[in-house]
Amino acid sequence: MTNHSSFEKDVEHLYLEHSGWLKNWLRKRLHETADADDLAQDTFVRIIGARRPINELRQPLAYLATIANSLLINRWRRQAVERAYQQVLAEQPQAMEMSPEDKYLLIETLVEVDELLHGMPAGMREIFLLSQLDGLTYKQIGSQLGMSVDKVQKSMSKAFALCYASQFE
Amino acid sequence: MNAMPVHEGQETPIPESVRDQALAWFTLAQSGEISPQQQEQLQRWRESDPHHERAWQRFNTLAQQLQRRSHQLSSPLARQTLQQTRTPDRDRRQVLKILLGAGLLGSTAWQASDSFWVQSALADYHTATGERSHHTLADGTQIWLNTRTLLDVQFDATERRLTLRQGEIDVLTASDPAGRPLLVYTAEARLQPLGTRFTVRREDDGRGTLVAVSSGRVAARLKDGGEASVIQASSQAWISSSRVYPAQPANLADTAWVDGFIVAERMRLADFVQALSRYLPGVLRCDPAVAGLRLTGSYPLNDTEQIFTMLEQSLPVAVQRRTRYWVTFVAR
Repeated sequence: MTNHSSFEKDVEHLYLEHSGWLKNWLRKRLHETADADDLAQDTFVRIIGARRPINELRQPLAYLATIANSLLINRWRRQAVERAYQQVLAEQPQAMEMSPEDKYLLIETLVEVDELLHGMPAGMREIFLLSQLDGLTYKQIGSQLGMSVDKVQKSMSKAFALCYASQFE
Repeated sequence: MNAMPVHEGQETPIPESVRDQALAWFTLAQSGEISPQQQEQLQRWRESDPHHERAWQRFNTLAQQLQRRSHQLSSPLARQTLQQTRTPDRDRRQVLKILLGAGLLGSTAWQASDSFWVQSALADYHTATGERSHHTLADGTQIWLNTRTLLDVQFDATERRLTLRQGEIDVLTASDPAGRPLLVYTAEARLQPLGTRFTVRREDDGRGTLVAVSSGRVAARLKDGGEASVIQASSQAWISSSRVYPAQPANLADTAWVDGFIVAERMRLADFVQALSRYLPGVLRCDPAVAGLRLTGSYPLNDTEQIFTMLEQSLPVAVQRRTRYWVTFVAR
């Protein structure tokens, strides 16, 4: 018989007390019950991986919900990226060949970048990509999109603020 | 992002004002149009404080994350996918709103939702520091948002609900054809205007909610109900979490921001600086030697330089700038 560390006991306790609530919470947000149960399991896997002392949590439900929420968002994000990818692919004049591996890596990268662009509306996204991927100056972006340099600068400032908030705050 | 973890370790947090300065500098630096003088100023700013350099490097990291992937993203397929991806933001907002509403996201260090920036992404209407905006709602009600304000608007079959999470709004109500009451909620108060124009201010400074009525009347209650106090035109009242304080004469100069001005009547310079600093990112201070000087005038909020010039002309003070974001009034 192995000796359970106190952390493992805490996780067990958390699971017994709150997994029902969490599954329920997730079910309301997902159509498939199986998905909700999967995500609930993933949430606890993350909690175990994080090894954050659980007995110090003042709001264990909020902790669970936050982790579950980020998993939920990742799932939505991946689905959204895959949908967009399929749509763009279908619009290509000729069939494009890509190995499953390459496709996986590309989607992976796109999901990551999409996360960085989180919260940016389409217009801001375009401006941000023109600046950061294509290296255009604000002036060039302005004349390309028919807007003032000031507007471009404001958009860029908001875009960087959103990136910063998602990564550091 | 899984592939590029950002480990903050035990480092001290970066002050918001420094973050905002770094944001402004970084945005400028990425414009492709930065002048040699600005470049030099930027260099000095980065070197003047270790916090500055750290904040700067954070923005740098962000930009590099994207730029590093530019070759992977160069195919039209990748680029178009990125452009067309519509992450279901509404769903995310809903989830976070539910959590916030249920009080599940407290002020714990691991949750980012307390940050004004994150909150502002969630609010239906919001303004940044120094920004003001005007909106006409579906029922014709007009709303002005002052600097750093977060407002949610929710109309349903029974009521028109405005929730002021932070900052200041001025409301000119329209009567609703469907007869639904308009209600303004804050953390402390529930306000029901009775055909009216009024201002509500709420900051996270522990002072509670201030409601000032320009015309008509407002019925003010604690959030959880209780007896209403009616605030008459030209009056204002503070509302804490436990009571509605007696109304006092309103200082209508307080609502001059709606027209884009700060109005001072024999105001101490120190108080003026405090009032003005709400609208400016960075640090605005006044030397104790000049704090007691009095000033009178209307100062245009959209032109800070003009305000500084006006003060230098009317008072024996000089504006001392360390950077664009660090300004001190000193004796001349």
